[in-house]
Amino acid sequence: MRRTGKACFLALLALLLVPAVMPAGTLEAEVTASINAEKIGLDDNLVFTLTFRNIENPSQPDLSRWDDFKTLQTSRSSEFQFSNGASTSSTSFIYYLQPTRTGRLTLPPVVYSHQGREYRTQAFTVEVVKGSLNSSHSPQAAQPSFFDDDFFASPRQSRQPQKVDAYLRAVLSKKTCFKGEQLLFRILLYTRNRIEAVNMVSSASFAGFWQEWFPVPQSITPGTENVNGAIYQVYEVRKAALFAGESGTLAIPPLQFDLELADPQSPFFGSRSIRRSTQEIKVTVNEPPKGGAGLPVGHFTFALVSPQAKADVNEIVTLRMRISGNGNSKAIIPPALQSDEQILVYPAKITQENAYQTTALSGTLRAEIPVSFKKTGKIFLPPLEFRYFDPERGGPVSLHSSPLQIQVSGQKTEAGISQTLPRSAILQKGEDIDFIKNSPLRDQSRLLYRQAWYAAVILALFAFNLLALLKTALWDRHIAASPLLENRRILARALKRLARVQHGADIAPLLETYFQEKSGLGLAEITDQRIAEIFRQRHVPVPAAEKFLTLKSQSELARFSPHKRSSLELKGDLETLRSVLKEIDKKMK
Amino acid sequence: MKAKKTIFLCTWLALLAAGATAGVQEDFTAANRLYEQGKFAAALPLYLNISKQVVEWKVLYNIGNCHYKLEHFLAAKIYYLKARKFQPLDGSITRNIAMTNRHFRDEVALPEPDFITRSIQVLESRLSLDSVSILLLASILLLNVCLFLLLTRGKNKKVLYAAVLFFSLTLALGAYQVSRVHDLGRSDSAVVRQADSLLRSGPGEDNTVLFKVNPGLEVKIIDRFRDWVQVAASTQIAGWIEKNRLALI
Repeated sequence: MRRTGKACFLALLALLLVPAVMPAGTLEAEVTASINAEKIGLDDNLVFTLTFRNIENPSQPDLSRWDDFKTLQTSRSSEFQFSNGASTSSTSFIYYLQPTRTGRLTLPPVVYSHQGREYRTQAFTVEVVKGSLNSSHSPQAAQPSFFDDDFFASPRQSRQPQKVDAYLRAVLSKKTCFKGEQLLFRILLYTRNRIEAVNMVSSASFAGFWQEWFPVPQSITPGTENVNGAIYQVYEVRKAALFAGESGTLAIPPLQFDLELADPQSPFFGSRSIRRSTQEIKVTVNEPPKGGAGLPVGHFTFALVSPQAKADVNEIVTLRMRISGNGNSKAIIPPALQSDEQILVYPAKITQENAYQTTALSGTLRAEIPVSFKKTGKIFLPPLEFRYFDPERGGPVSLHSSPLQIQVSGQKTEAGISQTLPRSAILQKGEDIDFIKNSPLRDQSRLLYRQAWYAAVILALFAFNLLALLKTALWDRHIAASPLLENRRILARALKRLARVQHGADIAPLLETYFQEKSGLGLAEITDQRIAEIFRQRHVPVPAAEKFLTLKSQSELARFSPHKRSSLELKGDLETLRSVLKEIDKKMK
Repeated sequence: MKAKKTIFLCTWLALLAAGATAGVQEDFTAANRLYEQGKFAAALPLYLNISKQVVEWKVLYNIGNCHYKLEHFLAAKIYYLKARKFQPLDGSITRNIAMTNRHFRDEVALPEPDFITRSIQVLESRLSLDSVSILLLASILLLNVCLFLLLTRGKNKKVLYAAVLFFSLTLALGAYQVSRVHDLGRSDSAVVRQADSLLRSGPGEDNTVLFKVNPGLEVKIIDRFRDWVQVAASTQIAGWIEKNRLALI
């Protein structure tokens, strides 16, 4: 009993400890939605908040297809949570929605796909009435309030004050740059307090810049810095690559963050929220010199390769172009390969991807260019030129691909008449159901077992079985062997034999056989005296008994008598004997 | 003379039956031609008319195809499932059901049949009900021959053993045929045909709602109680639903 209790305690302890030691990497991704009110006026706005937890850099879902609500404004905020050494991140998209009609309106679930898994939020029903309701339902009321930094203003006056020492600093990699040059913008949190969460509340959009925010990391490793003799922990809370789109002096506005400070004495779940802001940064953007205008800005590499050195005249060869480097890859226009009398160039498939490095955003552009050859022999593809503006050198840079040489063989066919597509070019456009069946019909309801003749044959065979069973089990064993039937059979046999008698001498053996079967005596025992005695015992009427014996005697004598009885006389005797036998049989049962 | 009359009558009946089937076959060919021309709406009533005259999985399958092309996906699925009842192993039916399922919201699927069920399906696809009927008839006939020999020629060990064998075979085949015939007339699956259908914990409105299911979901019938049917959509989703919300297969 004690052992069981101990085991239960250990199991409970293990259950409590498992979540505590679970690493950050195992945290589940989650998408949730919430609304600020279930009843609003037609003139009010509804705040719909969509929160993505543990999903890196989620894309903003488009809600413009909702019929009953119009999206007025959206904003995005990100948040870190530090808990037990692990950190979680969340990104929220806040939609300010205006209803388009009154009634009970439904906000359908938002479906978001991440890493092959589909996340679905709950649906909401909002009652919309005419006019406007209480101002407490307005989106303004749902905005976060501006917390005071002063902990002394807390209702619990007896508590010891805690000094808040946390501030934000925006850092830009360069204060002067060229138009289109990449700038690394970082927001650093300096703190001597324990921070549980960081939430950016400002809009992350700067006028004059094309920006690419780095994904919010799952965890941040802090560094330390000595500021005026005090050691601060420094967290890089957000990072973005900025590309100036216009020249002149551009300003990066202050960004506001809500910081959740761990404060065990706070009545608000052990934490207190404070708001901090970054400083404004001004940056001078210069136009590139004349030769570099309109070119991508950064530092790039360029290559064009062919996967094969030999090809058939009908074959399509896919050339692969790659441009990568630190810079805005979305501004790159790949150099084009032109068709001529030797090659036919098809439209290229272009893909772009960004890689978030520690110090910069790097991009790679890949182009797959299908080409076919019009001539046989050695075909030379001239080198392609890619130009960009290098801000470090302050001038344009020209890169050339290596010249390509391809040996083309095979029969020459006219271009445009015969073109064989490679297997990769055959795309499945769609699927359809299998075609109809058109083989001859066979009525599956006209089954054999439903046919009358089948049932009749089965019944007949069963009837035969039943009769055979009755005959062997009932008739032969019980009925046929009964004395009543045996007596009847003896009489029937005797009468049958009588019908076949042709001569008077045949009557005596017939009568002896009958009497033997009836009395059970042996043939030697049967004499006239014995017969008369048994008839007497069985109360056979005397005339019948006498007639029986007379006819028997006459038959015995007829064997030796020269005088034969006429057929008429024999017939009369047989008639008499038939009636005598029936009369005797009644008494001889 | 009597024999001649009987032969004449049988021939006449056979010709009549063949003529009736030939008419249906002509309609079937005409409907197929319309389908091939893309006139699905015109082919559909023809197929439906044929299905009233003959029971044939190919007709049901083609009706399903017409409904699919006319974007009546629920009706298409119902007819495909009806066709599958006759031809459970046909690949086209399975593929078309999979295609049709893409148009429904619920992606719950009934569990794949186990090895024994699959083996029985293979056996049933190979051994038609008519074949079972013929085997049963032959078995009974041979049993009778054995009994006749036993009755007329007296006891013989070999004949006795043969009689026991055929008697067992008759019993087994008879039971199998009864089971097949029973299955033929029984609805063991259904498709949800009404929106906002609820699966409850018991038969009756006062029972707890367990799941909400959408039209097109295929369910297996487990039990019936008055106007309620207990169904299972998977190993985890089961409950009671009103019969009128289902299309029985």
